[in-house]
Amino acid sequence: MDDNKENSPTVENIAAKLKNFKSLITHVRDVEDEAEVVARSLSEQYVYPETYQLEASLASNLKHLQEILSDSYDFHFREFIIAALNRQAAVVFIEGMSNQELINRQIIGKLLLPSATGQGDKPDNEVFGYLKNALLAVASLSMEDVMGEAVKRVLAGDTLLLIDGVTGIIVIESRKMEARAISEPETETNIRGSRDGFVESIQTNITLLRRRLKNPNLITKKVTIGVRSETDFAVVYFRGIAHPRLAYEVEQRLRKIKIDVPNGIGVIQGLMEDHPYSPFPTLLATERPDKVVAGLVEGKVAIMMDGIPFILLAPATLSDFFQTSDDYNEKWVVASIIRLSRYVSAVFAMATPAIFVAITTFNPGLLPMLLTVTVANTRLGIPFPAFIEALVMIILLEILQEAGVRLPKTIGPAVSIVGGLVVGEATVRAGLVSAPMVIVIAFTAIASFNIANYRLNLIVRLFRIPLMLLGATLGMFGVMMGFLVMIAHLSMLESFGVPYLTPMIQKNSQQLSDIKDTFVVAPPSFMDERPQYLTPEDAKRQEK
Amino acid sequence: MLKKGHLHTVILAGVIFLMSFMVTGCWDRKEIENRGFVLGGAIDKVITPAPKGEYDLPHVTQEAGERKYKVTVEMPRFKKGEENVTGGKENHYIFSGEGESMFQIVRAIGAKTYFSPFFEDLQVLIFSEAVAREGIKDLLDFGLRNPTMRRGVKVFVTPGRAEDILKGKMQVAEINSIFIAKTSQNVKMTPRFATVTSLGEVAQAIRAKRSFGVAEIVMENGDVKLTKGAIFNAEGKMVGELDEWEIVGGKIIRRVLKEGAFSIPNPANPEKLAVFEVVEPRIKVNSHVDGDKLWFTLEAELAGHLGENTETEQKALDPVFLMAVERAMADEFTRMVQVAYHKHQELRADALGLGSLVYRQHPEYWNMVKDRWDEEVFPQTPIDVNIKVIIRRPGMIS
Amino acid sequence: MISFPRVSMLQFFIICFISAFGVSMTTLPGAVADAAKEDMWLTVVVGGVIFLFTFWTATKLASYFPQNTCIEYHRIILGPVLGEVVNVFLVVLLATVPIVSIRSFVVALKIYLLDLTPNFAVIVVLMVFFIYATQYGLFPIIRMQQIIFMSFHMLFLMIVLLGLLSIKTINYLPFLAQGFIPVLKGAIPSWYAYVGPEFAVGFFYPFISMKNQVLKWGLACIAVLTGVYTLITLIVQGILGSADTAHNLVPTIIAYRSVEIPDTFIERLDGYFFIFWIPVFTACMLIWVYFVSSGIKQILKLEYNRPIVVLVAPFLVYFVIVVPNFQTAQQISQWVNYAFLAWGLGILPILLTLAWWKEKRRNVC
Repeated sequence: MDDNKENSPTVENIAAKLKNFKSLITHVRDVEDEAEVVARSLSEQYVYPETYQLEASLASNLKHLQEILSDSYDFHFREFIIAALNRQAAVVFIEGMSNQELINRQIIGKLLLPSATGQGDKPDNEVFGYLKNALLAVASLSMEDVMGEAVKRVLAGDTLLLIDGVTGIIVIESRKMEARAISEPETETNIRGSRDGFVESIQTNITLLRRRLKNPNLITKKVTIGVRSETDFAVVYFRGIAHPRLAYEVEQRLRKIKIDVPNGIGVIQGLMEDHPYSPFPTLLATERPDKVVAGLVEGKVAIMMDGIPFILLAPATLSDFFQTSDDYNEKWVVASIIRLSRYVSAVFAMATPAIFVAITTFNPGLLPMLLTVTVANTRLGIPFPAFIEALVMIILLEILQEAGVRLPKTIGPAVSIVGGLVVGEATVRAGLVSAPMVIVIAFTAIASFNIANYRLNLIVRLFRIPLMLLGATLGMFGVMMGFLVMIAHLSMLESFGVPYLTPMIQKNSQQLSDIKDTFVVAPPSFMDERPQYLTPEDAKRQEK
Repeated sequence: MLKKGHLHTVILAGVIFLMSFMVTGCWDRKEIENRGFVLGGAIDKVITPAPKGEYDLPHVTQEAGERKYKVTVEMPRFKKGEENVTGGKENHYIFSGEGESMFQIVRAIGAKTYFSPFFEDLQVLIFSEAVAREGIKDLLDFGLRNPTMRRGVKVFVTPGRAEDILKGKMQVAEINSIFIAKTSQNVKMTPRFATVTSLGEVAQAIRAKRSFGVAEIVMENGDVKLTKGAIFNAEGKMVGELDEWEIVGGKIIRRVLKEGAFSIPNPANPEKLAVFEVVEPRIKVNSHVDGDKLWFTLEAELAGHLGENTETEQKALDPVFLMAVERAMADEFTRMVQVAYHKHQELRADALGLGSLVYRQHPEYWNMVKDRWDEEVFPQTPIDVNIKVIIRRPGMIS
Repeated sequence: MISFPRVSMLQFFIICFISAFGVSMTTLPGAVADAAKEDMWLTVVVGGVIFLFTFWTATKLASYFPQNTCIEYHRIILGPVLGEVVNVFLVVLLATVPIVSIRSFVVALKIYLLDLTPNFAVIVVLMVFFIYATQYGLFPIIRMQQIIFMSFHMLFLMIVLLGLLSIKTINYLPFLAQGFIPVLKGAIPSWYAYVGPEFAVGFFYPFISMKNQVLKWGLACIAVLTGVYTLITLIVQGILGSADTAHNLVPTIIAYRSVEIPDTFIERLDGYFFIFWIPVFTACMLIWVYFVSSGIKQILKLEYNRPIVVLVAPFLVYFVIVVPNFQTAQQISQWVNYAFLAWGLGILPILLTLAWWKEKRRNVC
């Protein structure tokens, strides 16, 4: 019965067969795509330039280079004849990374000129010397014997000159990167300090430092990280000030990193920190050259990365995150008060909601009596417990803050208007949130803006909710225990062997001098010593 | 430097701990508007005592004890912002309960309302005279044993019903207890107002078996007055009252007189007045023991200025006149001190802290007499009063 | 930065102070007021002076064995068997301090801040903190103590000083009315307030950088400690008077409940007193938990004391909870007090004599 039905030429059967046929065609297409992918994967194997040998023949060298690079369209090569030597030659470069003007005029232009002394070939081993001395009008050039190195150089923007019969490649420095101009640092603005900030190019950044420290003892050590990206890093320190052990340790930790592509300096920071699991940063990232210079002459070590306009300073202690370069441009009294206010703000930004919740719901005895009555009056009729109220407001605040950071600058103000004015006002009006809670949250937000460092600001925001949880379960006891746990955590942290809380925990009274740049800013004449905790080679800073 | 597994265990333990806390925690959480902030308490005798065990619901059922006291508490009535301006409703709640144990009465009040009494902000505690005459010692035990009760609570006695003071309508639109508490801060400036005693001071006196004084509070036309003082003996029973003169005298002996204006008939013309304002009192009270004999000396130098001289004919700079004023004033003060001292002796209650003075200065003698101090020794101890008044300046006009 | 970490003298001072300044300041005035009446503050001074002797003994003893902690030199002085017995006794004695103190603290906390919260919750929170804080060895603990000392202790002392606002000078008289005997008697219950620095010497001496200055700084610390205790006792006495002080279970807190500063934001002091007492107390207990775990570690001759804290903590929680009521806790703390008295004035001098005798004999040979 069943067989009959299947074979009978009904409409349904025909439709089913057509469907099968269609799917067969689709399948064939899939197979075709698959075959293409397989074919490509065969031809596009990962290339190891080191495996190629340099030969005397121009043609085979070019062939190898083409094999290594030719799949990319920005790779160019041009063959010509060196008129003076009457030899085949080729120039290889990458478009957009190298100075084409230089290549046209000073390399190809010069090589095409007939020799003034008349034509005549040179022996193979004299060609390089002849070109260097007589023909090429460029400042820096070298001879590479290994294919791998040559490829690295061409990828960095240099130009390769291949000459028939010469076993080796002449590398002519012709880098010309398109770079952002030096501009004002965006995350660390200030009022009276210098206005230049780091850019993406490591060379420019080193220049910014050298311009400030014209001293041969400013050492820049190059480290390359990234098995696949070959990213340039530099360890910068001041010889004779920085403790040699520290500079060595930083370099060692950098060299130990075996990552394929470092995707930003935060990754590197995470890989070289003492305590990668801690939320607190133990390396200070800054985009201000003056800050880096100040750190270098204190005895710190800077880590630079190509392509990132931020520089890490090691070691970093908690108090470093409360300093700004403007502190030293103001009068010391004013600067001291401002800096103290940052510490106070950090505590308030972290703990105000928790303390408010704890006091109002657990220990109202801590408030003056009339304030108690006032707060209770405003809370009347609010449907949520104070904790939920605070939690909702904090989450709202976080969302608004994050929205403000990621949005285009043109829409940013709109967010703050809608969030701050409309939502805040409306919730109070509607009786969902009490007015003191809005004040508390607003104060918390403003206090957190007063912390100069954005990363610290993030951490303070992170601790707000756990602290509030403790406050809502155990009252002020919980809040206090929260503080203590945080202090315990901070005392546990170290940054390159320096305790994280360092200038605040002096080992003895001789080291108390470090305090003068911690909570306050001492008058400049008092700052005559480098911080002791960095054990600088030369402790004296100014002659008195 | 850091063991991975180790840290994870700690973090995990912490998270589990925190979670379990969130689930089971918040034992003490109470939203601020749901707390019954007791601002004032009043203790009265029950008007119609009912037999034990037959109380209706608002009254407390106590296993032991009688329906003896009525406790009234005042709590603020919380209201939204707009209501505050328009007023209208009363700004406080009054709850009361009856029974003998303070603790159980308070619990019974808690049972009547969803905001349970919270004593941390208690401002005043008022006893009716009837209760005070029977003794307040037993009643205070609750106040001292209860950890939320503060020792700064101001204690008062009132001649009438204590609950009326809390219930009464005040002129100032404020919660009665807060008004009383704020008013009593001014006591220092008015010498005739009795010193306000705090619960802690009362407790200290009872503990040391000393007599003590408490201010009397009276409510008139929406104002409160603290012009009289109630004297309690060592057993915590009220034994008598001080009038305004006696209060001034007592304040001088206790060395708490700080400032104040006093008037006498003008020496130049008895029809008119001369007013002296004390600004710099310097008072010394000492006890002297000679064998079995004990006496006190009070030496005072009250410096101040002439506040008012209604006899305008008299030149105020005239040294003879000023000396006359000084002498008359000194006599007046001496009289007030003597009156107050004798009143205390009469009441056989040394609320002036003189017994304590003897203890500090002559501990051996005190050990001999301490058991019969209030009853026998104090009423027979003489005081030698020597008051000098100095007029520093006669004011802006001569 | 890279050098081997050592305990500096400032840190030693702070450890000594914190180890003694935990829970006693709330109960000390009550304990001494009972015996010495108006001379209670003098009793506290006398207690401190006697304690100086104990501290001197401990330091002298430690200086015979500059490379060993007390657990190790007990073995050396008394031989392996007797030494081990003394060590076990010592560790049990050390462990009673957190037990008794945490119990009193939790009672006070429950009375004034967290009425309905079960004991268990508070104790477990404390223990979790102790476990976390002791996980990274000695130096993070010391750093933490320093930070707490610089911040919370200072705030706490400021609040203590605010108590001066409501003292009455008449409460201090008469002076020495009953002679000196009650003053000496009162010194016995005040002993517990000072206990701590002698063990700090015992456990930390090998790590101290300048060993010749230990005595100087330790004595300075005890002097400061005595000063602070005397100040607190004086303030409590001035506020409550001796009779009321003796009558209250935790007189210091009661005294601070009487202090009011009207028309300021801090209207009442007791709440703030209490809140800043929490870190002060916790820092003190942290040191004692470290003492206990480090003692056990050295008895068992292990390398790390991290796992020991984790193992010891549940026992501590159990013993804190197992005490049925306040009276029993009082009784126990009295016995602990006697035990510490016996240790400080009995066992330590004996050990010192033995050590001195051994040293002398070795020199003769």
